[in-house]
Amino acid sequence: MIPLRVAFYVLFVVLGAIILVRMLAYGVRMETLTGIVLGGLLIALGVYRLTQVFRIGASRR
Amino acid sequence: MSSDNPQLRRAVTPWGSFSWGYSDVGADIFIGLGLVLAYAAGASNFAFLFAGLVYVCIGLAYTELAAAYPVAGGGQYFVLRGLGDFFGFVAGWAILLDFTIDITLFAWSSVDYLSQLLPPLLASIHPWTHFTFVLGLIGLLCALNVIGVRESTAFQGTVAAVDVLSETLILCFGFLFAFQPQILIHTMHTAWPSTFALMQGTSLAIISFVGLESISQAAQETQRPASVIPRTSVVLIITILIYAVGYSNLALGMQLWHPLHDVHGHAMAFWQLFPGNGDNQGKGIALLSAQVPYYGAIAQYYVPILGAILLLISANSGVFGSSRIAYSMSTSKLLPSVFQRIHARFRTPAVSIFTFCGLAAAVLIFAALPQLDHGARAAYDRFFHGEDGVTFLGDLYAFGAATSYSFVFIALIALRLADPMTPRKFKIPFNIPMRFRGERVEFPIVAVIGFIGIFSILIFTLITHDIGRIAGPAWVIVGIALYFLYRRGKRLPLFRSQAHDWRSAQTHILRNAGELELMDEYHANLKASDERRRAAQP
Repeated sequence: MIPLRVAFYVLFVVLGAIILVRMLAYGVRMETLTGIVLGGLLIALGVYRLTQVFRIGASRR
Repeated sequence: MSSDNPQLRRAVTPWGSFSWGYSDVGADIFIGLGLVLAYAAGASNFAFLFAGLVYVCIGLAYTELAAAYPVAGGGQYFVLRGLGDFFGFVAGWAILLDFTIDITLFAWSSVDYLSQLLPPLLASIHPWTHFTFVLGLIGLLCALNVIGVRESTAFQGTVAAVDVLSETLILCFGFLFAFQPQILIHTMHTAWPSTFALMQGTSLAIISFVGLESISQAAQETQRPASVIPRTSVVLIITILIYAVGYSNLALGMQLWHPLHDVHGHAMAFWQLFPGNGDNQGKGIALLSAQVPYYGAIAQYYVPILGAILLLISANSGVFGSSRIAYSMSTSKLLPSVFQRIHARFRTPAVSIFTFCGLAAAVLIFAALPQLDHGARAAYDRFFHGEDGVTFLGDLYAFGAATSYSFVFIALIALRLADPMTPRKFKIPFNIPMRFRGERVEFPIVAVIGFIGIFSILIFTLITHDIGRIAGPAWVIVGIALYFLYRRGKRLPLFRSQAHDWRSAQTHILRNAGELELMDEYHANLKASDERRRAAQP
């Protein structure tokens, strides 16, 4: 299960980064704000979950 | 609260706790997307972001309270404890409205999703068939709950897992192959709504985030809830927010896989499918998933079924939740004892289940009338600006949620001041340390921000929704009148509270939750506080 979870949350981080880069290409403005927030949230959740998964994995070892 | 009473078994795992909440709150976006696109059009992503930020505050408040007071009563219990019997009743009554509407709205939308694959179920073309199916689903859920059949945690967990994976794949394919930032910017420029429509859309966006009662429900059945609930809740809150903001951005900024045309052959944007079209409003995610390149080829067939199942689970949680809240309010002497009556054979709160399913059926009739009868259609057009069934249900849902959540924020502030002794393993960040009645307390800034946000959504609902403006407050007023009648009959105080022994109750709650360290910490805090008080006395 752990490799699946890692892959899933890496997907979140990658998707978040892609959205963030594409939105930032149009600058920080009102129209891009929700996209920038979305990208940030995806990266934040992905990183948070990956940290948890790795911590659990380390404690099991 | 006697230890002789049978207790719920604490066997829910962290994933079980997440999937429980997800099945409840995660289903909301299946309804919310279409409704919000219909009103907020080019500003739908902003409507979702605003409501989403308010929801993050609400979610954090529920997480703190559910971890500190892990009982199933949820918002109603927190308000009862923080603000007393009267406000506890008002909050509980608003939650009961939400659960009742939840039954009708989610059963209705479940049939809407099925209609994507089975056109004879379309409400606009076959209104009687649609009505009969929704009524049948309410009857079925009522019967299943009286018999005592609940979907198993394993089934709920599987549906949640499939849905999380499915929604993520739709977002991935959508953002990688269809999303164009310039289309989003163009749509936001050309389809920005009026202020009135934006308020309408924002008030409907909050329905995408309703169901946080499930966090408390899960807390009652989770082992070591003070540790598990904060962890799962934070992930749940952010996941739901990502889907809401993600879908709304995708809906406004995607290059359609199958171009859409209106009856005159003009090209249409995706969001234009929703204004004035009740059929589409109830199945936004099914329509969106079909427009996602490549993945849409499969998604268009299974997403309507997945949506229908998830919505049905959520409708079932409305039946379950309303009967349990009514039971809990009845044991606290806020509602008559008839709601505690247990079915002799099935050992379920049958009276509560029948009452709220009956009310849900009555609401369904009111919501479906304009489709079923031309005379009613004319009356609705005249008095309610032609609001259709699903919008009417959305109005009331938003009203109930905004009312109960407003009280929960006030209760959080009151409990931080009045009950600083209860250990809080999770605390909302950004607090102001201060002294209150000789004790060190922390005043929660986020609760104030959240209250302003949810109260503004309540005001938006009252200003912009013709039916919600009348039916919502009417529900509260009728409830208060019944409360006064009941309390007078029982010779209980009307506005003041009965005597409660919260210290014993809290000890019992923590012991029952297996939080023995927290219970010891609670006792030590109480002892220190009592000694401080004694020392301060002349």
